[in-house]
Parts: sequence; C-alpha cells; structure tokens
Amino acid sequence: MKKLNELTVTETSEGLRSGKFSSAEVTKECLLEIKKKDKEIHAFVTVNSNAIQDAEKADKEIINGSKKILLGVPIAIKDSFLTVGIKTTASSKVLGNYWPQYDATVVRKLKEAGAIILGKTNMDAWAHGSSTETSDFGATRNPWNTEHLPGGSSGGSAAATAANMCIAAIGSETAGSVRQPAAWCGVVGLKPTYGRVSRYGVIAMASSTDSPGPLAKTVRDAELIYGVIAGHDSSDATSSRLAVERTDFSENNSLEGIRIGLVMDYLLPEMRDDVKNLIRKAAKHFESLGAAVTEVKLIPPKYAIGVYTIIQRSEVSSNLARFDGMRYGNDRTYFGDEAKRRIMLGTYTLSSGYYDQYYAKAQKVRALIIEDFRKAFTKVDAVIGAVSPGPALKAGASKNQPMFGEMEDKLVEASSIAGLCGTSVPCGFVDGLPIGLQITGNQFNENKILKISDIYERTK
Amino acid sequence: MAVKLTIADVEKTAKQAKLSLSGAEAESLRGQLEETLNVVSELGKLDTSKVTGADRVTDTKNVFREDAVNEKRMLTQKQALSNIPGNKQHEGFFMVDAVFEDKDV
Repeated sequence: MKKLNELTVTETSEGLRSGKFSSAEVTKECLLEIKKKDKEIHAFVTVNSNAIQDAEKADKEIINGSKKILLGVPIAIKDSFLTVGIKTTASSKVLGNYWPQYDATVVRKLKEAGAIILGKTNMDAWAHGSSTETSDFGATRNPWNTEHLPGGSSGGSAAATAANMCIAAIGSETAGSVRQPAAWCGVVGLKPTYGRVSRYGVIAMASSTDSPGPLAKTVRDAELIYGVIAGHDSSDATSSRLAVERTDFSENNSLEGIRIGLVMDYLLPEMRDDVKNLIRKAAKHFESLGAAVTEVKLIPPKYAIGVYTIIQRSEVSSNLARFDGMRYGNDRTYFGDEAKRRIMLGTYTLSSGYYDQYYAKAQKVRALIIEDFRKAFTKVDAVIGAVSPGPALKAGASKNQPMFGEMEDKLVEASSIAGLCGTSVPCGFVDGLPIGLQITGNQFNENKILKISDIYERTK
Repeated sequence: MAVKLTIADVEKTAKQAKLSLSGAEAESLRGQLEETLNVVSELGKLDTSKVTGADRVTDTKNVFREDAVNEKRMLTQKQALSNIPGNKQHEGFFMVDAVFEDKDV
C-alpha cells in the first residue's frame, strides 16, 4: 500500500477526484517526507510555507467539481523559475534575498492547472553544472546513496522526485540538466524541443538552448505535465507557434514500423562494460517489440563539447551581465567560482579578436551537428544511448575541474544544441546506482519519443 | 598550436566582465581558462568552409508584436523597486554609479 507521497501524478489526480484522500493530506505527507529526509538530501532551498493553505483551497475546488488537470497535486520547482511570493535564488548568493514580482509562464500555467507548489529545489548555481555541487547553499545528495551526487543542474528536482518528497518536479535543461539528474536519480526526465516550453521568467543560462521540462516518476506523468506547460507564449519570442501534439498512450505495446538508431559514438571507449551492456540490452528489447534497430554514426561527442562550451559560456557571460546589484540582488562580488569561470571564458570567446575563432566557429560546427541529426532522422525515428558516461559520481567529484559539467554531459550536448527533444528513462542499475537511457527525437517529435519511452518503461 | 593565456589577458577579460579578481584567483583562472580553450580548440580540426553559422535553431524568425502596452506584463513602480533597499533608491529611481565625472555636465 503506497504512502500518499509515493503516488504518481496520475494516481494522485484519480484519488483526489474520487475523494479517496484530500490534497491537504497528500501535501502534508510530502512535507513530512521533506522534514524527515531533507536534512540529509538537501533537495530544497525553500519550502512553500503556504503549501497546506493552497492545498485546502484546491480541496474546495475539487469538491465543487473543478476539472483542472493538476488540481491539488504537489509539485516541486527548480529555483531558477520565478515564483511570486516565494524567494527565488538560482541557488546563488547574488539572489539570496530576491523576491520575484511576476511568475514564470511555466509557473503560471501550473497554478492555472491547480498544482500545489511545494517549494523551490536546489540546483547548481545559475544552472552551471552537472552535479548540484556548485550551489552556493550546499550540494544535494543522491537518495539512492547519499555519498553520491544527484547530478545537475536540476539535481534538487530529481532527488526530490526520487525520494518521494513531491509527486513530480520541474527542471530545465541547457544541455543535460533535466536528463542527467533524472538518469542519476532513477526518474523520468523530458527535455522538450527548444521553443516548445516558454522560457519567460526562467533565469537564463544559454538562451539558444534552455528548455524547461518535467521530472517525474513515470513517462505518462511527464507527458501530463508537458501537456500543461508546453505551448506558444507571446512573452517568449523564441517560443513555437506549432500546436502541441499529445501522446496517444494506447495499451498496444508494439514498436512495429518504428526505426531506432543505436548511436555507436555514445558507447564511449571509457564507458564501463556493465553500462554499455544495459544500453545494448535496451536495444535488444526494442527489437523484440518489433522495432528495426540499426547502428548509427553521428559526429563524435568531443566536437559537441567544444561547440557547447563556447556557445553556452558566451551566452552565459551575456545573460549574467544584468546582475549588477542595482535593480535586484547583490553585486558581482557574490558570484561563486564556477560562475566566474564561465563568465570569463564566455567574455573571452565573444571578445574582439577572438569572436571569429571561437563563437563564430562554434556556430558553424553547430550547423554541421544540426545537419548531421537531420540526415539521421531521415533513416530513424529516434536515437538511443546512455544519458551519462556512468552512474552518479561521489560527492566532491566536480571540485577543481575547469570543465566538469561539459564533460559529464558529452552524450546529450549535441541534441541540446540542435534543439531536439529527448527523454531519460531508467534502464537498470550498476553498483546500486541508476542508469538512464536516452531516447532522443527530432524537433517537435515529443509524442513519438514519449510513446516509445512509455512502452519501454512498462515492458522492460 | 596550443593556446597560451597571460595574466594581462585575464585582467583585460575580467575588466570587460566587470568581475574583480584577487591575484591568486586571476592566476588560477588563467590556468583553467587556458586548459578549456585548448580543449575547445579541437573545433579547428573540422572543415566549416562551406557552412554558414546556425544562429537560429528552429524556424522561428522575425517575431514582432504591436507597439502597444500590455498591462498584464507591467510592474508598478513599487514592484520594480521592491528588491532594492531604501538607501539605494531615490524618490522612485534606482541609484546607479555615476556615468559622468564632471558634476556640471
């Protein structure tokens, strides 16, 4: 018998609508779990002190027959999303006391759908990282083994979901920041196509790749939240006007007619055999369900690292220029080491005399990568591989490394800079730690990859 | 050809980035930035002579809106000033660093 905080979004909604339990009860169970475990895991920066009140309001609406999709469901939100009335810090001392005066569009949509905001989750400061260790407020720990990291930068959201401190969570991905912590924490992560979900009110990292997305306990939960947050937003000029296609989750488990490409370049020479075997096992499983699985060759990850590092850090240097302490926040002396490192690299690569050699060159290689994927998707419907080179690393692994984040995300950077969509779904364990499989599709093919992900999740 | 960064390069970049660095920080960053630049310089190996830059990832372009006020997206003056302490505000204005040195300008 599951405890209320262990439920999925789907189970919570069903239970609330049929009167089995109340939103106040679910919310209280989540808050209890946070109280019990968060001293050790540190997934949250701020817990919403009005959560129970909000849940009680939701309960009244439920009784009155409201059909809001996420009514009464407690969700945790990464601390880079602006939330009115709840401090928002991007896990940085610069914004240690920042109180937003408007909600991010994603937050507004979740509220309109009736979700309860449980709190703001810990992240790498400014989303600069793949470990959550660069948070100015202390690292988050992995619920599967607290000597290990949860991944990042949406580490708090991933850990909170894995530890059942919430029913689901919101994160955002610049390259890996939803999928990698999802993989390290054994939950489902969805990185939507760039422009599919509004970036308005999300503290910017790299404006040409940032993609808000859900972290959840099941693929169907992730799709449900995706359906709420996706869509055009006039406040985000880069958001797409294409209609949001929902996934048809019929009980049919066949992958007949689906073509899947196993990316050979993602089976890195340094990758452990047991991780490679889990990926090959997944490929065989897709075959057994009727999919045509072939080996595909893509531009090697080492070039994606270069492209991503330059473009991301350049855009970071520009986006963090606004933090001058004059209109909000503390001054620039409050930036941590990783932020300084990235601002400096980005300023250099954009500067006169170096712009062509670095930024312009990176944008050209980016075009090569976009074309590489376009060609691949004429032959397959989705590509698969590991999300991360290995399982969750131990605490301290990211210290004193000039490019830790970019190195850890080498298997997901190409798809991020090409603006593609992708999921991370749990595919097994090594050393007691989860491994995530990436199922990556062409732009605006979320329904296709979510369908494949759902079938895999339920039949593996 | 390996990239080499000097402390002068670091100090110039820090000035552009409006970051103040201690001597030890500058030296530490010098080494790390040099290492990173050498890693990303791998891109030089790829032939991009036939490619124009991908400054756009999706087909969205030239997104315009009407030149009209959207009241739903306005902050009141009070809201706009709410994240700055009283001693950094003046009669409803943000206080900023002086742009001109000469007070008579």
